Amino acid sequence: MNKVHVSLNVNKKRYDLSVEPLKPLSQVLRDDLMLTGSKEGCHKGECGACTVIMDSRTVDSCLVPVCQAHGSEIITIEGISADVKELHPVQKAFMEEGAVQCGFCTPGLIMSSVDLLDRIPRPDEEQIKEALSGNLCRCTGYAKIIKAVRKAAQKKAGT
Amino acid sequence: MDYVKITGLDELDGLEKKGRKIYFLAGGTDLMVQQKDDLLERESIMADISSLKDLKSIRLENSGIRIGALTTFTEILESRLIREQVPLLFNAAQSIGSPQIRNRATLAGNIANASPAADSIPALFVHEARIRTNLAEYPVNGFFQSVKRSILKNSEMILEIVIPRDEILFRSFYFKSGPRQALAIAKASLAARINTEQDRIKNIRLACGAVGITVIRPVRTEKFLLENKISRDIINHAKDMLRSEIAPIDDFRSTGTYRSGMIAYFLEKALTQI
Repeated sequence: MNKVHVSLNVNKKRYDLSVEPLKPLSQVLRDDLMLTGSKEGCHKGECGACTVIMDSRTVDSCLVPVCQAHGSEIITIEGISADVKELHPVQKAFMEEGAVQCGFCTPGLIMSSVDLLDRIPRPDEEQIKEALSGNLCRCTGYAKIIKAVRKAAQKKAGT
Repeated sequence: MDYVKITGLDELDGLEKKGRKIYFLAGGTDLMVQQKDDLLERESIMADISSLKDLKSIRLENSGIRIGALTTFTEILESRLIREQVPLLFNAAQSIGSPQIRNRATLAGNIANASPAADSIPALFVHEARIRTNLAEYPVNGFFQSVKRSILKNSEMILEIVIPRDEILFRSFYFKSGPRQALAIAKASLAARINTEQDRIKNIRLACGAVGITVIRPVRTEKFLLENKISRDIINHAKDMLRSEIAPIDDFRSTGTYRSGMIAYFLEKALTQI
């Protein structure tokens, strides 16, 4: 397949690439841009480990052909904190609540949580569950994850 | 496989002349998986239609609600028009995939993929929706021919889905059985629209998903229920009839017996909830 020119804005940095148009965005992020925070679990859109925010919407980056990300604003786990020395409140809450076990699903869960809190600053439990329904964790059982999202919401709201 | 970016519908004729299988790429949530699993024809063209922005719209016209081919399920869920006037499609959209999938997947893609288990299709059947392409307009009933096969010709592309305006007031129901709430492909589903006058069924449309090679409209059961008053005997008879009109199979998702039982139970649920 012929390569095409694709221009991506990832974590506020512009990348110009010559790449196969149907290569999954997840592989471009990991292999070409060396942003290995986003994980590839199932490659079918079932596990959500590859979740990134593309033009203000969460997507499974394994299902996005890179040609369709041309010109898009993409945020990955590496880019959620405004300051590289400071963790995002959702990351802090995940650590404090022990919402991480093996950690493979964590980047995806954090991306879905960040997107949720940007949309709904004070979500109820049902809204949290719905927002995280596309992310599988096979270790922790979700209770601590949900608790962490609620804690991050409270911190962000300053209560 | 070659990749082509479509910038205008006039380019479709040229594509057809190449004499190769054409896949239309919208949100990619099905095609990217099929590509990875090596299920797509090698000598084919991937035609990316995502830049045809005119196809991203939900409009109310005299003919009904028109949903453009690039409209995603998230956009359907965010549409007040759909929520208020096509609640069945709204409910079906809610049960599709996950937020990440719904942000990319389109209604037209769900139709083009032509799975008998597709979540949105039973709703379209009971709304008697029409599918407009670059070549023709088809009623949804008859559009699907087999598993993953529709009436669409090689260079024929869905442009919009038309949901006609209702003349009568229906009660709507959508039931789906899956292994869990999110990211679950239906084991069996039933969409129903029923209009009654003094307990008598005056109009009824049913559509069954995942219990045949296409979504099925059980017309004999509908006919039997028409003009009948809902009673225990009528419900039991209708359930038996419905079971005889579907052809569920055993596969890795479920068994034919379970599917048949669920469809009959869903009908009972709809008839007793009216």
